[in-house]
Amino acid sequence: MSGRLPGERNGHSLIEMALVLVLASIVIATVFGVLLAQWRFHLTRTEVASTHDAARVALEVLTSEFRSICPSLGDLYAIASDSVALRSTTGFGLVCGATGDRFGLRRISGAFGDGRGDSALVFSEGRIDSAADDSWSSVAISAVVAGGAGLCPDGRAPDVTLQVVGALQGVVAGAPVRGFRPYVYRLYRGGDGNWWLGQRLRGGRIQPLAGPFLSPERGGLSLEYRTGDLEPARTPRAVVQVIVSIRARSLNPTSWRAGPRFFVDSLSSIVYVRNS
Amino acid sequence: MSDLQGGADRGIAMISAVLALVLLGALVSGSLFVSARQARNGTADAQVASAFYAAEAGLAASFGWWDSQPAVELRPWRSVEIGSAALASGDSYHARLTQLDDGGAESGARYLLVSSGRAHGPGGGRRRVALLLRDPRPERWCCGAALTTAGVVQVADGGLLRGIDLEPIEWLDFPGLCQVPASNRPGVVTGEEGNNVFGEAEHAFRELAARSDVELDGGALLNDIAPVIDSDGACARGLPANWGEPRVVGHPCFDYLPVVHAAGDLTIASAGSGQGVLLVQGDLEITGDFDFYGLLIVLGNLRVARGRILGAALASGGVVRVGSGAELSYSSCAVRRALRTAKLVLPHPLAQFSWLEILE
Repeated sequence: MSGRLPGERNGHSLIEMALVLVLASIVIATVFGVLLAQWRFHLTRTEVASTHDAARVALEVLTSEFRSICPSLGDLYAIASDSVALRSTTGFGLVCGATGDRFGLRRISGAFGDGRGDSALVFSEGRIDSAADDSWSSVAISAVVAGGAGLCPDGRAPDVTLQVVGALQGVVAGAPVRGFRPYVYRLYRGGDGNWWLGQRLRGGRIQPLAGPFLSPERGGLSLEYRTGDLEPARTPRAVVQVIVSIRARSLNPTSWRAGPRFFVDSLSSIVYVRNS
Repeated sequence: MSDLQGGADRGIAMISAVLALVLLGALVSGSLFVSARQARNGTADAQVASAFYAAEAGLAASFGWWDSQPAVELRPWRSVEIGSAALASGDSYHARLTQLDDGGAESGARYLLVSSGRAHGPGGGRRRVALLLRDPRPERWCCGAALTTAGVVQVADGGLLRGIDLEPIEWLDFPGLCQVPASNRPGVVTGEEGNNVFGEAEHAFRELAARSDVELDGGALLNDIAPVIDSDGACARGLPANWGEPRVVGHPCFDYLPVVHAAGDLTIASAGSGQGVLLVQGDLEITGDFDFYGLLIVLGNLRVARGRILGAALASGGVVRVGSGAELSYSSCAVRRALRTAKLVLPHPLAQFSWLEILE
């Protein structure tokens, strides 16, 4: 007699169990493979995007600096194929009035600071009937103060008043003033072993701006300076054109099939120095 | 027949599938987010770049097609909009001019020309660039006499040196050409009387030479100076021997008044005519039957054997010789016309650091 006890169920045979295990393994492996591929794709996209961003930021910073410098005024302190030291414009204003060591400004652009390295170039009229002897005089800003330099010609108070080291001479209302800081831009090797574009105030510590990049030897940052005749510029004052080339590298590998490989993005721009 | 009851043996397949789908969805969303962020960054960069170039276009257009009228009506620290346009790309610019000082009677005022560029499309970026300009007011340089010189003046019998303010005879039928009443001057100013003038002239020389239309090497000899018309019937500007045509009103080269700069000595053995501003770094010798209308500045000696200079001449060298067949006559009209050419009236950027980007 064959009967079934209450609660009794049919068991699985060994073959059934093996089949289930195989199928489950295939399904899990497939799902895992899809997830892994998607995860890698996600990482790759993130790395590629970050690399693009680093290259764009670095190029924008450097081209913006080069575009507005005036080499004949001494804005380029030193030039090299992988670094540059220059006056970086921080602000621009017009003199409202000057008294002793203070002058009030109508601010047009940016900001004026009184930190280390903050200085200003003040336009000085030479002979009033000629532009040939006009010049820009450099003064160190000792403090940004409130008032003390009179009103602007339009009767309004200056936007900002600067106290400078030494007395001001020959500064007239309406004279342009350019605030600047001396910066060095170069690639430097960070503690993580990667190369970063850094900005360093003269005598200060270097601050990372963007990266990572390939090493200078591999073209991480390449600066080519040219004269108006497109010849290599031998002195900073002769620079009219700068070719900025950048090779950014992803922080992490983006491909594993043939071993870890980094994504590299390169950008290049020719900058015509507007004030050459 | 299986006998599953009460759900006691529910598997984990459904939960696993849901988890996998959630994980997959999260990854896909993450990738989409990264891609979208990069697309946004790229779009923003492109718009900022477009705005920058629109601003540059505005600066170039406002400066290139300079209209001096708004500047004339400005006062220090006042602004006026001098131009705006939509570019073919859909981007646009607005240009404003601010006068920075009053300049005074003897010198030109300074201006700040600001051009704001805006990229088209939603959230279009904005960038502003500016130029520091100076109004040259060229008339201040010239001229107190037909001839101003620091040296010896020798006028041969038959030579003519006169300060009566003459209007060129060819222009008499065109009253619009000489609107200022005639104002006679001395025929010649020499020695200390002219010292200040030479100081002015040297500055003027440098500024004008920097913007010359025609550059001649030192020691140049010109045998054939004449107006040249190109295949389109327009004046062929910039040619070394084309100095305009002052004697035929309405000629294509009548309104071409070049600034000619000779880097050393210059000899003119040509007949014909020319006009504008002639700057000679060395000695100038005119041996041909040549008429020149305008301003002549010579840093060396001046010898006019034949021909006619109508306008004014400044010679800072030791000797000026006017030959028996030569005439040097003052003409305020010819001088003013030469100095009011578009190129000299155009304000020019400050010699150093004139361009800047205005940071928000």
